[in-house]
Amino acid sequence: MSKEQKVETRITNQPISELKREIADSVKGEKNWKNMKILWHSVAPFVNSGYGNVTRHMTVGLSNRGIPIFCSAYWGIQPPGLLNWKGLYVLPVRKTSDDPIGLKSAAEHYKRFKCDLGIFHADFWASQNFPKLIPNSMCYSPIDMENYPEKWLRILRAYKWVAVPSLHAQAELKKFGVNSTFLPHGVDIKDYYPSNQEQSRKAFTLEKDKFIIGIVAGNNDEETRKGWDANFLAIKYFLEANPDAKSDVQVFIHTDPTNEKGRNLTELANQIGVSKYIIWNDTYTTSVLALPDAAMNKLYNCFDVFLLLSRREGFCLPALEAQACGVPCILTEFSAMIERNDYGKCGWLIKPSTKIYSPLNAVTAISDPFKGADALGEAYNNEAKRKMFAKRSLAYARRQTWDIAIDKHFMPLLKEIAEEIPKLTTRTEPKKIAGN
Amino acid sequence: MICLLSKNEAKSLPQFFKAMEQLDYPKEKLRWVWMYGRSVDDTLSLIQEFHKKSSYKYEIYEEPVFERLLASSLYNARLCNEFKNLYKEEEFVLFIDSDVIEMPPETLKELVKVDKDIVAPYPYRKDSAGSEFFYDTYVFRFHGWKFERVEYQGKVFDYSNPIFKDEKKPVEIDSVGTCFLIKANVFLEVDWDNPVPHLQFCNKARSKGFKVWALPYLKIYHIDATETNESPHFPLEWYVMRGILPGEEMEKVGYEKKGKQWVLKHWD
Repeated sequence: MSKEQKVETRITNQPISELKREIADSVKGEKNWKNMKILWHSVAPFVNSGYGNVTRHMTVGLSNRGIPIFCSAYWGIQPPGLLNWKGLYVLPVRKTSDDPIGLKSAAEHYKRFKCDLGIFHADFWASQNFPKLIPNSMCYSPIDMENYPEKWLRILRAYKWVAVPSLHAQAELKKFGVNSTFLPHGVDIKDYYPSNQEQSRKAFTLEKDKFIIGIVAGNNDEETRKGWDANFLAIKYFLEANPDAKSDVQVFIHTDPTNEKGRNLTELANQIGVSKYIIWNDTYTTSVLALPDAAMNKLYNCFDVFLLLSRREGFCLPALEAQACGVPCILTEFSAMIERNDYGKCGWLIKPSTKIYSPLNAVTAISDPFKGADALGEAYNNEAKRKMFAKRSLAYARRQTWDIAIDKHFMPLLKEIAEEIPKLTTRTEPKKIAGN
Repeated sequence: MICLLSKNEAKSLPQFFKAMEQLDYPKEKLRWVWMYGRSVDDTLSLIQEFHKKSSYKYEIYEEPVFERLLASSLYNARLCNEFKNLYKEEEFVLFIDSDVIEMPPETLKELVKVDKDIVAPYPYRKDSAGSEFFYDTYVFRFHGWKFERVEYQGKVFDYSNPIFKDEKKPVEIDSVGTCFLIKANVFLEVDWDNPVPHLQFCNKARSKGFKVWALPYLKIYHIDATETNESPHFPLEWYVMRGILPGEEMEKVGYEKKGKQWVLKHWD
């Protein structure tokens, strides 16, 4: 949720002998999977959004590991002209009414920059032409619903490789015969870590003794994917069941409450009757400038508990960032949110009250605000449990860094992909994969 | 040594495994060697699960990058030849489609017992109504006649009534496919070639003096692709007619050009 970024010179943890061999190979012009040039099509790496965050960490991470990578951005940069952003080339695209996310430009970038692999990172259902235009294509998209219609699955089937950020997505696709690789997102624990709550609250002019429920989420759709109605209702029911908490609880929300693309959240909070407990972060900050990582870290550290009763999540980066700051989460028991709370071991999972078909005709959940209220009640009244969850959340988040995501998951996947690209591979013989 | 080329076969594998397990043959004498083609279904996990539970010796290899298993099996010669590198002194080598779903338990024993250079059972397919049809009407040939509807010496043969159907003893024919046992020396001496590797293997073997036999009285059943909504295995002609492959390929599978047409070359 920020745009602060460090791009280091290329640093690698490879043993010197291996590095020397690779250099010698590349001098000789021999094949090397790390020569694979990647075109990453998504938003620009400096955009403050989920896709921007992933783009920033993944492209910079790969670049720092010696993989040549270009960002083709359908959002965050306007043509004409490219941008050298701290060593990464960010290429704009030409958008037209029949090509709203510039896939034709992406294909042109792929060709002109002689790329070997094109990665699409956005909602997969918008990428119908990407695998048709780009010979070696990989889709890295959230799959946050269930029972997708074949119309959408067919788009994924056209890709040569599919990677998904959650195990839920992987299992869901497998049901329909789509093989995918688990490639999680991560958190930078140098940026997100527990710090002094009192000082953090001071920075946001919040009272030090209050019980603060925090929400960090976008407000970009009318459907209210982030479950704003459920969030507000859960707070209402919690306060009704715990009248003593009314004077003690504040809800701090980091979002753009009046974004025209989303719901009018100030109005919704009024309608539900919780507006007097809510402190909205400054709209100019949330919608225009955004907060750097250091400030976001302070923000999470203000919270006693993080609440997000989303209808679905592809990964839910804010929950992981909150956990890295030692803040336990209350999340819906659906899609990637189950994994975010380690199947209920480090936070509260709220069972959906029902499941419905979303506008894409796939299944999404509606969180149960009454159960959400119960969880808030427990977080408020049972300090021991909250602290236990906080401790577990922190330990869990520390195992999910961007470095782990890249080194453990992305690099082996790229190596495997390169092995399948004739220009880069050295494998011409069958490979033994099992036996006795 | 049992040689298997398998890609997207999840639908048929459970029945294939059942049929293979029912074979009346010492399990310890069999070694399964799989050439696995990257699949979009559960082919690999089904194979692995089967071998975890069974006591067969086995090896699974993933296809090389430059040589991909094709659904049509028309151009898999290199992968067939790869099995030679994996051969370990067995007396016989069995090539079998992993979508064969039914076999009499004595199948393998009988193939070994007849002791021929190359020998195969007759492969059929059954539709849901229970009608039987000869399955491999393209590779199975006798004197240049395919095992499909033909009139020959006053008799009518068709795919439901194939050549030598009623014979109770081994019959010598041109070529066999689907499931066939090869003696080790033949396997090592003869190479597969494209297109239609099994057909060319048999033809080459015959040119070296080996003989190809079939057992009409031994019937096995292949999955019926027309019943499972799978893409049919198109013959070479289908690709040539559409200009996907050059016409010269037809010569390699027994055709000759007469005027503008390619016609099958029969022989006596």
